[in-house]
Amino acid sequence: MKILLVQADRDAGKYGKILPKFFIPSLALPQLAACTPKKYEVKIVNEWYEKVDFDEDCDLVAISAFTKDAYRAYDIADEFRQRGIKVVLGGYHPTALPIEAKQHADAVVIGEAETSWPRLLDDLEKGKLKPFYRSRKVRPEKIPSAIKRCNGFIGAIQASRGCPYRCEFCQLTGFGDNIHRKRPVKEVVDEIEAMPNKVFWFHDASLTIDPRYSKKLFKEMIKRKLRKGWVAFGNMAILSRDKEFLRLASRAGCIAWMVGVESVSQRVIEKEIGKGGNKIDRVPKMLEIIEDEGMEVWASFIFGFDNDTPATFDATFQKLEEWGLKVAEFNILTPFPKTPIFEKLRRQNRIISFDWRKYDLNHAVFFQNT
Amino acid sequence: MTPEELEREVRKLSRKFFSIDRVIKRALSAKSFRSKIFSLLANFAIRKFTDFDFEGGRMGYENITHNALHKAEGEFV
Repeated sequence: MKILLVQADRDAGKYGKILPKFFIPSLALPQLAACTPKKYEVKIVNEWYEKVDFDEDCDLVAISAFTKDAYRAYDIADEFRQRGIKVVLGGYHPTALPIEAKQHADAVVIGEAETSWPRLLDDLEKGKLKPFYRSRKVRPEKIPSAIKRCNGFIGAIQASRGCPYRCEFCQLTGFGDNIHRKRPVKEVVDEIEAMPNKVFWFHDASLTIDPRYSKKLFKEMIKRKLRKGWVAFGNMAILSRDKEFLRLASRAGCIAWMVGVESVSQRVIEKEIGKGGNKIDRVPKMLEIIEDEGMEVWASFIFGFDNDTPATFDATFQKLEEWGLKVAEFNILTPFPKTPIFEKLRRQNRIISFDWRKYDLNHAVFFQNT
Repeated sequence: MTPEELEREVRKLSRKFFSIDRVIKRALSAKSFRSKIFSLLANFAIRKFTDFDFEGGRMGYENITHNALHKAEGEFV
C-alpha cells in the first residue's frame, strides 16, 4: 500500500521555493512516517516546499493541519476523496474538532498517532476502517526518531513531550498534554547526530521543565562534539537564574532561547495568564546572563488580554528599548479550539469569527471584556 | 479595544520595532558575531511573516464550521 502524507498550508506557494526552506519545520509527518510499519511505502509532501499532486499514485492520503490551515486540508481531502482515495485527517485542528474534520475524511486520528496509526492501517487493509482513532499518550521511549526528513535547511527534533504549566491559551493544555515525557538522552543525541541539518529546532514545549534532564542532554551533546546550532523554548524562571544550565546549553550549541515573556505587565502575567514564574523585573538579568554565554533571546508577547489597552503598546515598546531586547514577536491572543480560553470566550459569546484562517496569531477573533 | 483596534495596535508596534534602522542597530549591538547574524535573520523573518493578508483559500465555510462546532459540543462536554 502506498501512503501519501501531506502537511497542509493555508499559504502554500505564497513564499516561493527558497524562503520556506528556512521555516521551522513541523515534526508531525516525519514522526508519522517513522511509526508506519515498514511494509508500507510512504511519501511526504509538505506544502511549504512542494505542490500536492492529485494524480499521485497512492492508496491512502493522511493530512495534518494546524487550525489556520484547516480549510486547505479539507480542500485537499475533498479532492482526493472525489478521486476515490481514502483520506485520514490528524494534527492539532482535527484533534480539537474531530467531527468537523470527519466531514472531509474517512477517518480522523485524535491526539498522538504513534499507537493508533498502525492500528488504523491494519483496519484499512481488513476493510474495517473506523471513523475515529484515539490513543493513550505514547510512552517517552516510544516517541519515534523522525527518520524521513523534510527538505528545509532547518531541522527539528523532540526530546520531550508535554508541559505541566497549563497556560490557558496553549493547545497542549486543551489536549491534556500536561505530563512531561522525556525520551532517553542517547536516542535524542543519536537522532541529532544522524540529522543532515547543521541548525535545528527543539520542538519541546520547553527545555527548562526538567533542568536535570536537559543538563544530561547537553553534556551528551558536548561529549559527542556535534557542531550543530540549535534553538529551543525555555522559561524565564530557569533562564534568569541557572548559570550552569546556560553554560552547558551554550557549549552544546545553543544559539538562542525562545522565551514566552507574554506581557510587560506583571499584573496581566499573574492575573490573566497565570504564569507566575515570569518576573518582569528579572528580564534584564536573564538577557545579561544569556548574552554573556554567547546566546540570544527571542521573546514572544501576546496582546488582547482584558487589561491590555492602547497604552500597553507604548509601554511594551519602551520596555523593549530599555532592555535592549534583540528579537521579539508580537502575537494576538488566539483562542484555538479546545483550549480553556476558547471554551471561556465561547461561553461568554465573545468570539466574533470561526473562520479558522484567521486563527494565525495575527488576527483578533474575539472582543475584549473591558 | 475593539478587535480592529487591537490588530491595528499590534501592527503599529510591529512596524516600529521592525523598522530597518532599528533591526540593524539591534543586530550590531549583539555581543557575538553569531548573535548578530541570528538577530538579523530572526528579525527579518518575523517582519516578513507578521502581516498576513490570507488571500486565496476557499471562503464560505463559516456555516459548516458553526454546525460542526455545535455537533462537536456533545463530544467534549
